Amino acid sequence: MGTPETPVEVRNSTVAMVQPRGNLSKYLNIVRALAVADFRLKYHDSVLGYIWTMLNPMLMFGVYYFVFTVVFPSRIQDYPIFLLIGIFNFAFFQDCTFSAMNSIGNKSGLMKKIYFPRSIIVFASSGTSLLSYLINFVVLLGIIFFLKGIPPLVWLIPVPVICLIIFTIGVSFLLASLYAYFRDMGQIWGVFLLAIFWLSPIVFDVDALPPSISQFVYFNPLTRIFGLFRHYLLYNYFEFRFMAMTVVYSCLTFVMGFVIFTKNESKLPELF
Amino acid sequence: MIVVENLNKVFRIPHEKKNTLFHTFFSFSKGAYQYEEFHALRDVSFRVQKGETVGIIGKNGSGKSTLLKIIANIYRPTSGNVVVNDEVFPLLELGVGFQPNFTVRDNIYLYGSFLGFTRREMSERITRVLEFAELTRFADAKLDNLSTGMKSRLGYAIAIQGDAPIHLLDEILAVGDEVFRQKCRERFRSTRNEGRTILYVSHDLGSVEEFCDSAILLHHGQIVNMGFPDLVIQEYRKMIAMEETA
Repeated sequence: MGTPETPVEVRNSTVAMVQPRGNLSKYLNIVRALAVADFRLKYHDSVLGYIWTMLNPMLMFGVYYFVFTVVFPSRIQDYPIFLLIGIFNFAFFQDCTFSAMNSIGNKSGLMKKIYFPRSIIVFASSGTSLLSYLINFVVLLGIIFFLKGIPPLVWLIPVPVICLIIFTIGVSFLLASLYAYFRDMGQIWGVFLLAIFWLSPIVFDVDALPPSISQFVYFNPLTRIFGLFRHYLLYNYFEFRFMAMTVVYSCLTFVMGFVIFTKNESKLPELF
Repeated sequence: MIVVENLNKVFRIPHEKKNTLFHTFFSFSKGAYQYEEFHALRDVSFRVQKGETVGIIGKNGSGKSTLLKIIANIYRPTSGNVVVNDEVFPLLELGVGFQPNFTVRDNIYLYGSFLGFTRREMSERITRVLEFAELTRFADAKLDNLSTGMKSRLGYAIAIQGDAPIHLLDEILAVGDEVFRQKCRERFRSTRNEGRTILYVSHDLGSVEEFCDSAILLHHGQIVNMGFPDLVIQEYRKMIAMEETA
């Protein structure tokens, strides 16, 4: 530059702003508008578009069902339902974390022009994934009701659903923060997801493993969440301690992800 | 009121772009992280009273937009203080977040939500927006099928619905044909007369002279002149002329 370089002493800087009135409702309104817009873009406003996204978990179900009933027969009771529960819920985890991470990049233009809490982007993208998950979940319940009748503990099902959502959004926040610094997180997370898929009890039963191994699998919060789903939908089993631990783990993950994200949030627009 | 004190902004532009984990991991051996420092703003201080309209002029890269972005809370200052004591409406670009695949109507609602309007508030305004943008006939057309001029007219028509007491405007009067520009100028004048505080960045010196109570001239991130618009513009013209002969 033409002028001589004078070193700038980095002092504490402050920006005092007045927050807009009707803050929260305004932000919720942005979350909703963005989530609905993305949902419509994803499915092109058509029912057929939605069916396409069902196709992926259904196809995976078909393949694993073939492998674990014909190639390596599984001794798990009600294996189709056992497998469906794992695959449908994992599909949400996969879809939500991936799109939340990418949304930080896709919405960078918006971020550079308008001020709003950046967490809105992650919430909105999670909202989009959540919409399709909830529709899928109704389909899953329908299948279970059809095959097995209505499970007595089905009224408890909101607990694992909410745990899964909270945990997944927490992980999404972590990934979104990392993505701002490392653009290859997409590829890295793809590999991790594959590992997480096989290390979570989706196709296998964690309680059939020797305890020396299963205790490690239980470190994975998804193990507990999937466990709760199966307790309430399949085994008609309730244990308060197990449920409480799952809730605590999920909430902790969410808080951790959210705090890390908000700590870095003000740097985000300059990183893109 | 806007108070800016000793504001500095330094951008670090790395020599080698390292924004992947792969790069970060494999380039430790190459020594320290090297970057170029770019001082976008140096020791900028000024005050804008309530109801004042202040124009910011200067060449490309002089820090005008960076300044607005810091006041809008988008960029963080490297050092210095910014106090803004009222709600800010930043208008740094028209049509941010427009979805080309949506209809004009859907885009009005979407953009409206970014500006802080609920669906109901937007429904009350939609006829006005369409009329101002002269797009009533195309309300249900896909945005993609509109011409560039139409899109910016639409962006402008939605944006002026913003009613915060402080407006930050970045080069937004240069939209559409002469008739539309005339309409925009009238609108600008009425916004001004409503007692709003306006910070206005522009290369259109005529409009700065016409609308602004005072002007700020930025050069390489420093304020070189501040005061009555005609005098500041004169100084700016002199500066350009000198650089051309040099």
